[in-house]
Amino acid sequence: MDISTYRNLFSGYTELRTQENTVVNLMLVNGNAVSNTRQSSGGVSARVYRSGSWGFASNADLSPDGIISAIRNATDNAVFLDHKLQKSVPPLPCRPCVQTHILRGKTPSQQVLMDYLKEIDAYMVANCPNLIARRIMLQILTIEKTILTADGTQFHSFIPRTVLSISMTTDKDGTPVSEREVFGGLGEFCESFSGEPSQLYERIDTLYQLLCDKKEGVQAEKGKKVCILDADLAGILAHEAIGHTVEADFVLTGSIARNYLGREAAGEKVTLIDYAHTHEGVTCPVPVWCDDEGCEAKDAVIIKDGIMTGYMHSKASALKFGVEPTGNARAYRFSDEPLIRMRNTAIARGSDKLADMIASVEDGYFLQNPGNGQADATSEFMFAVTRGREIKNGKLGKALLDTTISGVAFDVLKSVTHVSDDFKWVCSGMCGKKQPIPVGMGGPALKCTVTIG
Amino acid sequence: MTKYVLEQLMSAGAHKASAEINRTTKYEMNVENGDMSLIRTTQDVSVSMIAIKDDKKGSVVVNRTDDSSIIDASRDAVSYAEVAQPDSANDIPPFAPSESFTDGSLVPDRDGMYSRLNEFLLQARHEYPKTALDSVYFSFNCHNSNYFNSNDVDFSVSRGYYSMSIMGMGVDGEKTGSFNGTGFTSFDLSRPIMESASVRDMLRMCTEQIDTKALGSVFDGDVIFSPDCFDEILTAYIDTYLSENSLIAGTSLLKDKLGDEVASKLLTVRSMPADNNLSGGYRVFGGFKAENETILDSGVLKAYDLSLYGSNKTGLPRSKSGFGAICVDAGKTPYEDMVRSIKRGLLVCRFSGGNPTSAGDLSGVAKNSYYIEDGVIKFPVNETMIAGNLLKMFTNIGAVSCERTDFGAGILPYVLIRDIKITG
Repeated sequence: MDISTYRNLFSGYTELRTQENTVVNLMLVNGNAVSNTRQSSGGVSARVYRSGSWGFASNADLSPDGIISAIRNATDNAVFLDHKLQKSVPPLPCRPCVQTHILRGKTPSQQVLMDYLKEIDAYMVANCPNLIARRIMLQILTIEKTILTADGTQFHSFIPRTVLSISMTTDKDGTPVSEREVFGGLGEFCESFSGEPSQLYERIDTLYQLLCDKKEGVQAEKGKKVCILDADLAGILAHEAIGHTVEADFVLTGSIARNYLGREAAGEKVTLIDYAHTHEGVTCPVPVWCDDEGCEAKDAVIIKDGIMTGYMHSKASALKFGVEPTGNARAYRFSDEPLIRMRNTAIARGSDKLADMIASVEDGYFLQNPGNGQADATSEFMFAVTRGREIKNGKLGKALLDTTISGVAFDVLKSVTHVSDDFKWVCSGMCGKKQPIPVGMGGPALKCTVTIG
Repeated sequence: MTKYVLEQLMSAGAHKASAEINRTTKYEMNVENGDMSLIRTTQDVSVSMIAIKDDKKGSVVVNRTDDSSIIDASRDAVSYAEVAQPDSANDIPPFAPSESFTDGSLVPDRDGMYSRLNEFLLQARHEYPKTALDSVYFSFNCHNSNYFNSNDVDFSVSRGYYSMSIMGMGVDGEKTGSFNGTGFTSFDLSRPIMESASVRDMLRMCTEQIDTKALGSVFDGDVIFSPDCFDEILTAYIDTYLSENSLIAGTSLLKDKLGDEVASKLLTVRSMPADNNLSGGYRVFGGFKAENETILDSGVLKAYDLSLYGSNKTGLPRSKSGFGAICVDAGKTPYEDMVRSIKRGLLVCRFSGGNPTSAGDLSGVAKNSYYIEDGVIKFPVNETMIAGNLLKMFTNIGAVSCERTDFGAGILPYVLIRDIKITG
């Protein structure tokens, strides 16, 4: 919708945003449709800045009265707080963005989506014997927003994401063993899954074989080990272990990254970037051309050849640090205020060959798929690892049962000796920091030392 | 309005239907890096529709209440039902007498909120200068909801309460401690924030945990889980063994154990949503009036977290409580005695781990934790992992403290669990 006429209601620095999120969720558990829903949530918000104090207001009413009310309430909140606090902070830096990015595609009817899932389920029943549980989950998230700011931004975007997750569980002597694969990424359903369900059958067969291998798997030996972290794990390492510590608001509070600017933070082969929208000429999984405070988004180079070079910034944190904002201020729903969030955080590809890296490990692990993970101000991290293999004398061995890896991220990055020349994005991630938000994470494979088990 | 939504669902062809409208208002004060930074007011409405046709279910949630949006959403809900599979487990709650509930004040005391928050920030800076507050969210929340279904179930709820969430870490020169967090809800502002729930403990621990040591050993020891942390462990236990997904999938190892002793006799866990003193409770869930219910009674399994659908699907009884507002009965052991009883072990105040496996195997980092030796808390630890199996852990409970922390949305004690693998 065109909100440009409301600029004349702004008194001082103001951001106005209209936004609609739509989520389609379908889930089959053992063939039962336990979820068959569509959820949409839209409205307007305004955020006003007065000398270092912020006021925010939102409502679901997109009529002129609703929009005016949001602007007025946000202004009142900012004035109230400014009157109490009287911070007298200078104006914010700006980098206005006048762009439109509409990635609208096609999502078929609920009938077609349900039939797609049912066919996959039927294939699993017919071709994956001895399963005690199977779960197929489809989520299609679209976010459309318009942003208008007092400092000149006028922006409109429509960004869709489709994620299909297939999980299988078997049992070994009464103990459940599970495997999971995720498909999809940027785009509506027809862009992510352009053909018949049969196009996924080969990958389902592979997943089933991995499950059978894992059923006979072994526990990882606990302790510090040389590991090859595959691309999926490198991505979560970049996001969880490093990314959160270099969000500038966290740096200001006291995260360990405040001590690393301009200093060695990783092995010299490591470069880590939070990409705004494009990586090696290809659109990232979660492209951000303009953040939710109306700042044109740029890549945030965090680590370059092992040296920490910067943080992720909003306008307010950039002012405090005396740098350019990077366009990292994001909000999930219309009623959420922008917070410093990651976008597409990745370690850049290197020049080593994955096969050579595996061959170079005498006694360690090839770790392939992460489960959930958590970060800390100290850069201590922990990830679940749901798929991996032993490496013995340079050769891949038995599959691993579920385990965890942990460590101090900057120590782990300093232990990186090899970075592979391939690259992969994980496109299904959601990050939590007061609000959930979609994120992309990626990387090559890394050879490093971590604590496992 | 809700009856209008229901009429549209039935007109669109639903055989059974339910509608719930929930209007929420939030007034929130935010603190960033130790300073007040933002005041935020939000208003929203959520219209949830469920349509069942020929035992097939579809649902739609929108946040529009104009006629055209309601009519379109109703038609969508029915059309989604038409493409689903028939499942005789799909149903709506049967008739129950209409009731209205009101809890708490429905209007925020804004000046009172500012005053309490300002008081807290001044106290925190003065008493714990090395604890940096990363974020504090202090909000007043008001919900007005109405549920109506085609069996003439009609519930209305109005509820107002305050909620607080705090995240911080210890900072001293170049040193940084592990971040920690806590929160609580309350019906009023009568209690200072610093004296609520575990707020003071959290700020103290952040300062204490700037300097930590590695254990450097692997052993089986005893672990005391703090009230904040036991809430996480108990949630993991419920999700793994008692949740609807695990019971329908058949992966729960407790699926046939109702009435059996599955945990230590020392443990009694209740869900108390209808407790008038619990600001984090609720009156209605899934179209049913919420009732208090015992989940584990001296270790005996009494309830599963099953909705009407889950109950119909599995043949197991439906949860009467919704499994929120969790309260664990106080034990008989003073906390100090629990510590004194430990030869080698940990006090774990936050757990950072992967989701448990379907079997309940759990491993992760003991965050904000302390090493205990010969009955004395020795030092905060770093890079220390704990691992175990939830089922075994809950049978190995050695003690439950008589002290409990009231979080507003639950009341929990310290719990000592024996024989956990500790890796330093």
